[in-house]
Amino acid sequence: MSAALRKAPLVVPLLLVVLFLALRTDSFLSGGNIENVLVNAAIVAVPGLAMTFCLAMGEFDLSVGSTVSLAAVVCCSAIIDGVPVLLAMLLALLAGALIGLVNGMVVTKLGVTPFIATLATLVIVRGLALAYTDGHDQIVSSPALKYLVGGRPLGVPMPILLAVLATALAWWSINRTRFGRWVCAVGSNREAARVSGLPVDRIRIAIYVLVGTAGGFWGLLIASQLQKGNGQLGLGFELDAITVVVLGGTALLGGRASVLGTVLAAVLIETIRNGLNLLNTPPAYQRISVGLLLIAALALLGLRRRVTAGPATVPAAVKEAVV
Amino acid sequence: MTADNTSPEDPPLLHVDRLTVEFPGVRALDGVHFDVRGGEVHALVGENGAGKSTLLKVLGGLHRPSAGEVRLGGQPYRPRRPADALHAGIAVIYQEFNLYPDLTVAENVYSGREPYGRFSRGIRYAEINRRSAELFGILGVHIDPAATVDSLTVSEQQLVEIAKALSVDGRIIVMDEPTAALSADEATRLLDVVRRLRSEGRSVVYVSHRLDEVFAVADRVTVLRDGRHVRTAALADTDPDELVRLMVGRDIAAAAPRAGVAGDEVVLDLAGVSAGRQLRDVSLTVRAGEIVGIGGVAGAGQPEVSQVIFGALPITAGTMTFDGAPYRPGSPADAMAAGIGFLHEDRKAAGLLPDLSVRDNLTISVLGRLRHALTRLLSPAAQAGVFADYRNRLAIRTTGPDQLIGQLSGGNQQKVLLGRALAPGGRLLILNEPTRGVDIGAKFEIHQLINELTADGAAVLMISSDLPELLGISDRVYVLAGGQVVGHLTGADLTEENVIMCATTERRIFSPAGV
Repeated sequence: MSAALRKAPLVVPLLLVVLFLALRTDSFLSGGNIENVLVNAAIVAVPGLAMTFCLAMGEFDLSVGSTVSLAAVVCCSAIIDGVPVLLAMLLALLAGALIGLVNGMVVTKLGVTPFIATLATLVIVRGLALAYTDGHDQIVSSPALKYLVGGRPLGVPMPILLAVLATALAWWSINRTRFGRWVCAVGSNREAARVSGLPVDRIRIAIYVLVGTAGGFWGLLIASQLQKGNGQLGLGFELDAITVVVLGGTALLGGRASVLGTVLAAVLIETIRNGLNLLNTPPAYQRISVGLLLIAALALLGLRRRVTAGPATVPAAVKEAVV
Repeated sequence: MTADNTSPEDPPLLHVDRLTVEFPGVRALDGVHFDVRGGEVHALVGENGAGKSTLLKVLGGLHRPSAGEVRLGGQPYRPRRPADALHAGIAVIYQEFNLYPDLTVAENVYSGREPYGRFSRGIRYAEINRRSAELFGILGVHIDPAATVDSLTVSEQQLVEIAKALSVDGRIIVMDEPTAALSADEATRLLDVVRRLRSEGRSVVYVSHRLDEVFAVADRVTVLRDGRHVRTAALADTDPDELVRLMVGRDIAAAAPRAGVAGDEVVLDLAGVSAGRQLRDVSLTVRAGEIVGIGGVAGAGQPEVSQVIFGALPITAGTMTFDGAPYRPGSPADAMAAGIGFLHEDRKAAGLLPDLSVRDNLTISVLGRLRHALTRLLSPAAQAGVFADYRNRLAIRTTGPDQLIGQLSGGNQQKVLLGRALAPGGRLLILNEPTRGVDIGAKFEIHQLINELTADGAAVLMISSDLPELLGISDRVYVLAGGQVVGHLTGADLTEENVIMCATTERRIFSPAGV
């Protein structure tokens, strides 16, 4: 039990929040509400899983929010232009992958740090989405696109089904496959990876393509929900994706990934948002709550590490003082 | 000379001919010759900056030569990337380990060559764990293949690197300063591993500053100086004095003579100090003008002693007295304010600010003092003054105060950090491994400096895993084992045998007080 808790410490706050909301509200435990929370969590969890790989590699991608917008725009515009829906969705995913490829090339071949490179593509891609739509909504009415979020194969909402599949795949990939271990190897010690002959650049590019594609998929989910695409969608989404990864316990500096942590963090954040809605809290306070939660969670994590790790290695205090 | 399969008539397995490597403005290697025979241990020695690391990096596929040729088994060998070197059977173990701390031992050993299932794509963990265990069996050690590397000791990590080299079936295993971070005991075991590798028919290129190891394990030795080949000889045909002379290009004394005179005034006194389970009931004194050494096998509590004195590790029992007053630092800042200078054992991880100039690196600990009285702005003139002062005293060889510290040799970097520890002007200096990874010439200079400091009345507490250094310049030595003081040696008792005896057996040796 305690070992499981150490691996997924978010279970405790999640249970507390659920208990609190169950007692304080009438509607939280209703089936429809729970499903609503899980669908929203699933929508952020899928790109969060891709971002988990990126952080495990010791890097992050800020351009995702804009990719969401561009992918939604590409998909909706294509549908408006008469492109078959499946092909339109594929185009949107390709657009996301292409943005990822650009990020990967800029980071590896031009040697620009990921923060700057993806900050730049964040701005550029947003500009592309706005330019393409000339600032207008691309409104569609497509049941096929709607199915992506609203469909219920086997009675399970489509996003939840997809998130479960993605979680299993991500967990297996990062913990058990060669590629996943390479990603963690690069995050753990990139120079060592280079000297040991790992194809470091190819690994990094692959991860940016993965995150870009996931961003495109996120855009499809949003387009499916709203039945439109425009240049304003996905503002700040990149931070949502990074938040669930960090809150889930993946090391910000790379080397270790917590796939289940990412999923739990997505559920926790959506539960809190939902609860605050039910308690009629204005959206501004919801943002403040999520921010405070992040600080609290990471502070607790840091404290725990300091207690358990002990001064066996070089104490940080020595480094600070001597340097 | 020890192995029969290294007859001089055999064509060499690896042949380096007139190798030149140039970097912008520097010729790191200049027409170097070097060869390795099958099944021999070939030592490569030279001061820092002699070109050893550059040669290793050419062999490992990290640097490309500007001229010259390398032949492996008679064929041209031109690795373009590290993977090429591994495929050719040349495994280089660099001084900075190339391990992934977050991954398991087996994952590290088979990194890049993991066997995996065709359909599941899953790594075959049972297989790599078993094969890793077999490799450790060859090396005669027990390391859990499923443990993460960050849970291992430095010497175990070294063995993981060697297992990695074996796993690619390295015909030539190149080790760069493999014992730099090991205790004497661990180093002895490593030398056994090197001999095992040779008996397996593999060749080892052994780079080391420690000539005793070279003479203990190598068949031949090549000396490099300033990027040039100086001499290659069978170990039987040379001796340590000659090698030192060839390395530095001049004769130097083996150890600096003691100049300091121990006074009676006790500067630091520890009485029954404990720190959790890491230190138990440690009592020691350091007097003005004295160099007190601390020895023992790695992990016996040496760094922890320096950390409690420097306020980086809280004490759980006992008392400390500094300069005659009770002393209980809550942080390194307290310790510095009280007048204690500290040199960390890990120059790279906890010392150098590689992107800053030598001036900034040296004065960083005293910047508060170098501000203008009125404006509170940093005074470049005062900073330059302090730097010039230490540059002269410590004989720091640099092109100027603005040179980046990363461009200096290890020995000069260490002198800058020594200056940083001295600049606050404390009465007690704690030196952790003051000459680790510096060349013989700089080592001698640093020893002289420590001597001069004590002659001026400073007290020095030195932790060193280098026994000749510990015995050569300390007035007294405390030996630690399991976080306890198990020996106190002075005068005629200061011998290698006594230190090793105390550190590794039940025997306790306490020289009579008042020596």
